[in-house]
Amino acid sequence: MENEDMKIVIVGHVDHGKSTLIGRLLFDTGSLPESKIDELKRTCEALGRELEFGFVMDSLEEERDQAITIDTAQTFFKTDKRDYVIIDAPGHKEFIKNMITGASLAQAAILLVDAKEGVQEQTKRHAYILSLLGMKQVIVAINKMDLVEYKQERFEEVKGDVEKFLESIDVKPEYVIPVSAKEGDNIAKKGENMSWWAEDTILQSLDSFIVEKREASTALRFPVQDVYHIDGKRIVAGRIESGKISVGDKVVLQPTNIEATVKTIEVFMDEDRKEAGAGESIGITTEEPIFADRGQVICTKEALPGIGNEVEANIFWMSKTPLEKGERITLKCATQEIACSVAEIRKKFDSSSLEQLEENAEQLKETEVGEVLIKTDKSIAFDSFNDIQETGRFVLERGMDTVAGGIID
Amino acid sequence: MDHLDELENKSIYVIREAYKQYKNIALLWSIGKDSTALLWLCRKAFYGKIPFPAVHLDTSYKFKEIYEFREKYAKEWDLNLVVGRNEEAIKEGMCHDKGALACCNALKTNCLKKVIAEKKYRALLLAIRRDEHGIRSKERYFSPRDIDFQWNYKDQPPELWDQYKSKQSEEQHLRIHPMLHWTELDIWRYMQRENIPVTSLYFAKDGKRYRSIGCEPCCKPMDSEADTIDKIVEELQTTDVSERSGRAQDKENAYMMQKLRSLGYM
Amino acid sequence: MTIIIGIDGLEYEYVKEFGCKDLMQKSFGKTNIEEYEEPRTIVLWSSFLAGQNLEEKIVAMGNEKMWDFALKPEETFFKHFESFKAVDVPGYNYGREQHVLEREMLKKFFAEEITVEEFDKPVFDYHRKLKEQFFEDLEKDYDLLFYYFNAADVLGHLSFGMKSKMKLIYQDMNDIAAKAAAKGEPMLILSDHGMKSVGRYGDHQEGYGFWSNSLGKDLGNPKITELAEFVANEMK
Repeated sequence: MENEDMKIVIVGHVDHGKSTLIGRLLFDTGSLPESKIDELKRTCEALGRELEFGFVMDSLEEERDQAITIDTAQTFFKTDKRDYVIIDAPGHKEFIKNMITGASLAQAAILLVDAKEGVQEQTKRHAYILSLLGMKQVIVAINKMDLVEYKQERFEEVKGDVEKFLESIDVKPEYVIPVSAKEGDNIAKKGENMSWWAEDTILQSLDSFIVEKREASTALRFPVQDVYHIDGKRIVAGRIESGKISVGDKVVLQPTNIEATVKTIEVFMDEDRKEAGAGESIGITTEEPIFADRGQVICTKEALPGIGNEVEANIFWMSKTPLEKGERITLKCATQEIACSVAEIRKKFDSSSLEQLEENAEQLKETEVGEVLIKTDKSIAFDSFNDIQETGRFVLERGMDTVAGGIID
Repeated sequence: MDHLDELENKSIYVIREAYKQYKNIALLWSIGKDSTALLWLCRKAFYGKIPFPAVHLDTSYKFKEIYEFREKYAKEWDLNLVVGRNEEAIKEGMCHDKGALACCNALKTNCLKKVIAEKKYRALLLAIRRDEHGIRSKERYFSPRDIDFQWNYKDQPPELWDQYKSKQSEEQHLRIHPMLHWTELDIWRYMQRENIPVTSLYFAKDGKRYRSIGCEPCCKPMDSEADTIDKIVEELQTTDVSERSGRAQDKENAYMMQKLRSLGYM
Repeated sequence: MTIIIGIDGLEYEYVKEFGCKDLMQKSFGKTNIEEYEEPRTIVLWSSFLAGQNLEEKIVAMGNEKMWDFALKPEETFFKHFESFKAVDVPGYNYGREQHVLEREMLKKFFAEEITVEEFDKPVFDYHRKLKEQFFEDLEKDYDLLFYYFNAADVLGHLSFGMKSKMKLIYQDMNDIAAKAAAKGEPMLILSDHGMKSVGRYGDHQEGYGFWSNSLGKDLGNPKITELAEFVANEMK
């Protein structure tokens, strides 16, 4: 049993059976709060009824709907391998902000597609978001196989459609599995309805994933978060996003290009730290007094990031008020926060169909995707999303709110 | 890095963001295990010198162990301790017999509103976790509340890639949740690893211990033999009774009993 | 035969949400009980039987004694029927033993002496017995048959907020109504008041109850005291 839990997100069209799948995962892994299911079971017995899976679903829905005080450990389930947490990611278009927020926290995703309805707008939009978030561990579950008489031909047909679409947005699902959440086929166990399916179930597939560590890139990216003066020391604090840093390393602060040598690594109650790696929130002091400030990125000369005033990126617009070309907004990438504007909207797409809507557009509306050129007021240090995710992605802020997410080409 | 390291590092990042962005912030310290773990993380984030106050809302009905713990560690950890008390309501005799809801409202919610108004805090650090309760799953790390503490969870700004809300309007204050991604078990494992002190109320005495603590009249101990952190961790791994069930229902119990009496049932 | 099924605490919104077709019958709606200070079971049923608001009189008896309040047949709309059978009807022949037990158990539950499970069991047992007896009586020949079921209310007090459980109970009430409806006789289904959730618990809903009838007659938003006349004049 792994000590670490894995966060997963289940996305897809709202009617394609998300809550039934969640219910099934919880029910079949025995992860539902015992006392409540027992109470339902007893009620069924007292009234001479059988406990159907549907009743269990009712019980879960009510907890979701009402913020009532009945215990709700419902988003956790466990297998022999590890614990899982299902992150809340509502599917409706109006909740797209919440969906992205949820999905960005997950380490794996299940994309649900209705076997009867096939790929729908929402399926595509959600798949696109997985692509935007750089999700690597994806399972496609072709659900409601019971509605198509468990026919293998239908499964293959839908599978073909999904894969074709996913390929176009650079998402490579590791598994495509025919399931019926309602009947419980191929979720936790094989079931008897699809004898033609000899491959893995959803749970087996999830268990094969790894709780993703940070990208293995060796290039040091240590964005400065803040500077503290403590006990006469000047501590440059932040989190290492990629690579590692050791005492004695020669580093360079970008984009200002200031050079320095690491004197100490500061971790509270860990006096003799000589080294720190990706994901660690640490501090450093330097041999020579340097001007360090939030937003700078500490790197090494051997592996510098891109530096400049122009960034080519794909952005996903999330605000009801459209983006106007040239409008003054703010770009936030790691700890950098820089005034900017979108100078060109070279192409724009509908995120649900990924159909190209316009070239050289003036505006980007909610849920639209744009291939854009961003011009920043000051230089910015960045990477391609494919090289280093943490410094290859950014959000755009207008006024007080985040309005877009973007990845750098 | 192991699992607890990851949790810790992410929390420290969030805590440092909160301080960088808003400066005039405070940590809400109930003296319970969660907020004490958060306090510990704050000490780590700022190398033992937390640059903002720890606020304790004192209803006057807390366990004596809570007061002792507060005084001891406020001193030992050199905290800027702010104690909020709604003296007016306490003087007027507000207590849980007047209805648990009314009592909490006066001695906690209103007290907190007063403290925020007086000290003009722009953001509060809280130790809530996503696994506590269904609605918590919708919380953000940086969650805006309006002037009446209302939370519009259906229309919150998106939050991705550790980019948090860095600006706010005058009317808003922020609830910041650096431990949103922890579970109850994680917290105990962390306390165990780091040797973080907690009040003795959590440890079993005569077959009972408290799983969550607050005001003495409104907390019921649960049956347990766990008298060390190790045993608590072991107990939690095999139990599925929700942490707050004991506490939340007390309020409803009081209300229902009153209603059923007025309807002639009891 | 005229059939009345009295269901204590049947909530209009749940009936609709759970799609209980046989409880809704051909026509259904809410009753208006806003004139009552509190939606007390014994007061509401008595007022229905007598066709007049008896709140003051009954409340004056005090919380303990009021449950013993009993009207004579000639004080109720029963007098319009030659042969009738009323079972467990509050304000007429309420089954004292069972209901005293239920109230005792409520106290014990809140004193943490018994669990929900222990509370529910005797309520279900009684409900099953009553249901069987009702089905037997449906085969007999009365001018009026009036059965009162209180499982939805009694169980609802501890579980109304647990919708999945209430749905099972409402479905069972719906099955009872379906069986009675199959007789093809004029039928009235009435509840004294609705319910609302308090966490997992349930409180009486103020302001309205529930009615439905097999005649398809739209009664609008009637006071319960107006229904005695409806039964006597239009449901024979």
